[in-house]
Amino acid sequence: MQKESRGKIEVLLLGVDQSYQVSRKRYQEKSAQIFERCQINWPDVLLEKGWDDVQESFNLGGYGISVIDEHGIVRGINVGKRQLEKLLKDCGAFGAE
Amino acid sequence: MAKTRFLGWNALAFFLFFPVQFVSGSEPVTIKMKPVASEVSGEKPIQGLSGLLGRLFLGNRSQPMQWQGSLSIDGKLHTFFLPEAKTYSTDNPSKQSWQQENKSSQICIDANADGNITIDERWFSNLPVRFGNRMFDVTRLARDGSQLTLAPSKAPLSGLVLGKKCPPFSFLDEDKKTRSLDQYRGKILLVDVWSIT
Repeated sequence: MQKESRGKIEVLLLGVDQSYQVSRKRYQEKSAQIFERCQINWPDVLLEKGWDDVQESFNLGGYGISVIDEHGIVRGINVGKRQLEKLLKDCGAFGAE
Repeated sequence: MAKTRFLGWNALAFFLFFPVQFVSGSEPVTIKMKPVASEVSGEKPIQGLSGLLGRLFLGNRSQPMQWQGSLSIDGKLHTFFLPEAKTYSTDNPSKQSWQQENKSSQICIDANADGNITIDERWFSNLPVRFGNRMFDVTRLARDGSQLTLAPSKAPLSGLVLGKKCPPFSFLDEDKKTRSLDQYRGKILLVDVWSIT
């Protein structure tokens, strides 16, 4: 989907592994493996306070994808795959340049 | 015409039964909560081991709302609820903010006014609570839930609300580059909360 969008879509990964006592070294090793396997190159953040950071910054309590449009407006919170595709279309992610 | 009149009567009834508090300036406002008039329930969060077991074995997904209040901020009416509980408190002995560990009472704001409370519409009362584009601190919450006091907060805007602006953020990624909301202007950003575990 990201390729189809021709650069309109960006992804930011927020890692909560600090809440599970995972070391930064372990996180970096494992995430590098996952990125290579999935052939992705998304920026990732290992949050210092894990879930506490997610709760305090975004009021989110679970895994999932949230969608912020090009104007910085929240268009979806913890969306599933189907809803995500629809939201991205609605946001004009796949429109002509 | 008939529809307009009908809506007018409904609005009048609403204001009679649920007096609306208006917020202006920086003064705290105390809200007298009313028992929920019609059945309103919300998606139940998974809290602690008992919550997880309840979800897995009992399919316990719904939580009824007990108290209802209204707040008008910048001309917009916000309806919010307190979920059913024996007692209410802003205390969080665990000192951890996240849903699994946070023991403070929750405030459920029906942000999209659809009469259904989703997980993202729940806020912990020990943390700043977002109404529209403003943050409030819950400075007092009656033990029986019948009254609460909200004070405009000095905390920065936080929390995701559908249709509202994303709060500013700034994180250092694993390549030591700063990632902030401003960098994504003009792009569609997918924020993906994940873990390797």
